Amino acid sequence: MSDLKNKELDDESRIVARLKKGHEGAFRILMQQYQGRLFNIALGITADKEESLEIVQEVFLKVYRKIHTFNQEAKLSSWLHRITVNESLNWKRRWKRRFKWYHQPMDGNDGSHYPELTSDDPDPETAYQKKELENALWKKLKELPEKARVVFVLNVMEELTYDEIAEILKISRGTVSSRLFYARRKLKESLNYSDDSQI
Amino acid sequence: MNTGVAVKKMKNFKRYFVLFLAAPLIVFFANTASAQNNIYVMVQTVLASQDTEYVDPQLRSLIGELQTVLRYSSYRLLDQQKLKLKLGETGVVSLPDKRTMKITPLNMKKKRVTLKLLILKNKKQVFQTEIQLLNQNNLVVGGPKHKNGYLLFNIKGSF
Amino acid sequence: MKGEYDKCDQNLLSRYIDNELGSDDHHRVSEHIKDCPACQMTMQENQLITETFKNRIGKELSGVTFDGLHKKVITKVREKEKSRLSGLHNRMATKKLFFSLPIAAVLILIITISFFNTNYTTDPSAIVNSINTKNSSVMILETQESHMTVIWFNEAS
Repeated sequence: MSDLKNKELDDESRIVARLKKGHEGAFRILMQQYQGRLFNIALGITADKEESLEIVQEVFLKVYRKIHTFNQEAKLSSWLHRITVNESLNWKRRWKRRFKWYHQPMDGNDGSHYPELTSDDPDPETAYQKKELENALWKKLKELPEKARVVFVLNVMEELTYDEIAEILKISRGTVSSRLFYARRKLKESLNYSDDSQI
Repeated sequence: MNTGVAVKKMKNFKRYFVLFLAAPLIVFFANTASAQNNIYVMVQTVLASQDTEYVDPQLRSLIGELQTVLRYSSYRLLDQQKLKLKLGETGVVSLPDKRTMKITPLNMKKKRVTLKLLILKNKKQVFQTEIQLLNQNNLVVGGPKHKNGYLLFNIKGSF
Repeated sequence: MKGEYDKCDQNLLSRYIDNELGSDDHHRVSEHIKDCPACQMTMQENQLITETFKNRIGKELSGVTFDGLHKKVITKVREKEKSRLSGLHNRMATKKLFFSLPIAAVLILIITISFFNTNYTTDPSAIVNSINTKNSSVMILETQESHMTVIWFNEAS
């Protein structure tokens, strides 16, 4: 296991060294490795697909501009996570987007359409219920305070430990724990909501 | 990377910078060249006397120097005249008590101009000298009597 | 084993879910959950929330292509590189200017000083080639400091 970790660190050092020299190829590799993950984080925070793509673009541009400031005391992934979180939160704070956040229907789906059946769904009713839960959860996520939402997204999507999250967000382990607990408690309400909606 | 615009800007900058450096040199040599044709002479008429203590403000630097050789207590600027002369051209300066001074640049060599000076009283020559005057320097000629003192003539030449 | 973990501690459970408890605590909570339907329900709900959220994000991700992103980013990177280089050129030109200005100033100073330096010399201001006067007494003097020539004659009355 430690050999694997060492190898990962070596690879990371090599990529960082090439990035600092401005190698376009290294930059492409970085984008391919992280674009999906960073998109997930951005989407979890902003709940907006188009804006999340813009955010990821900005993140990579920022990385290009600021790679010379990265001193490798922390992991490259932590650095990328931090930039993504900050960009996502900055996006949310712009007033235009705030309007869009509160007034746009969730991905144009108000629940009136029939959900798509996947191979995992036994029947349309189950698929519908799953869709309803998804919508309720998404709505509840948007209502979560920023600080709790960010911790939840990093924990679930990147499966980061409390220490790793604490390092990215520059908060204590205890704060990570309490915010995550709060997020789960609030999101649990969406389960009750989705149950109620079936009555 | 296409840096054509940057290269063009650099070239323009170099051009202007060379001009900036060359400008003072051009001005300097132009001045030098043009001065070959004209000799500028200024003649100050000063009354030096012992009856009062006074130094005309315009004469302070001159008198400061003159005091080492002359012992007058009062120096008054009576008149100042400027001439622009070419080589061989005679300029005439009117002086107090029906006197006149005639100045003729004869030739120029390196840093000096050869001047012929004549002082006439009642159209009669009373003094004549030929000197080689250093550029931007002056010669003081004195002592015709005038009123309660003596006249000094501060003659400054530049070219 | 009954003890302090008989009570359902939701906060502790949350940390248990994230595998953030010490081994002893982890073991005790595990034992508690076996006999606690409420905690088991909490665990399942949490699992459901996590899966639902991941599914939703996954669906969004599957509908996204990043080719356009690559192009955009690389284009912008190249644009920034261009403007950085031209800025660098300008800064280098400015640097050259900053280096050259003092040199130019010194040159100008030297020229100016040498131009005016004709005044500062030990030579007399005027060399007397000849004097012609009706009077017998003529004095030619030179001041000490600036070597200014003074000719003094007594005018015949």
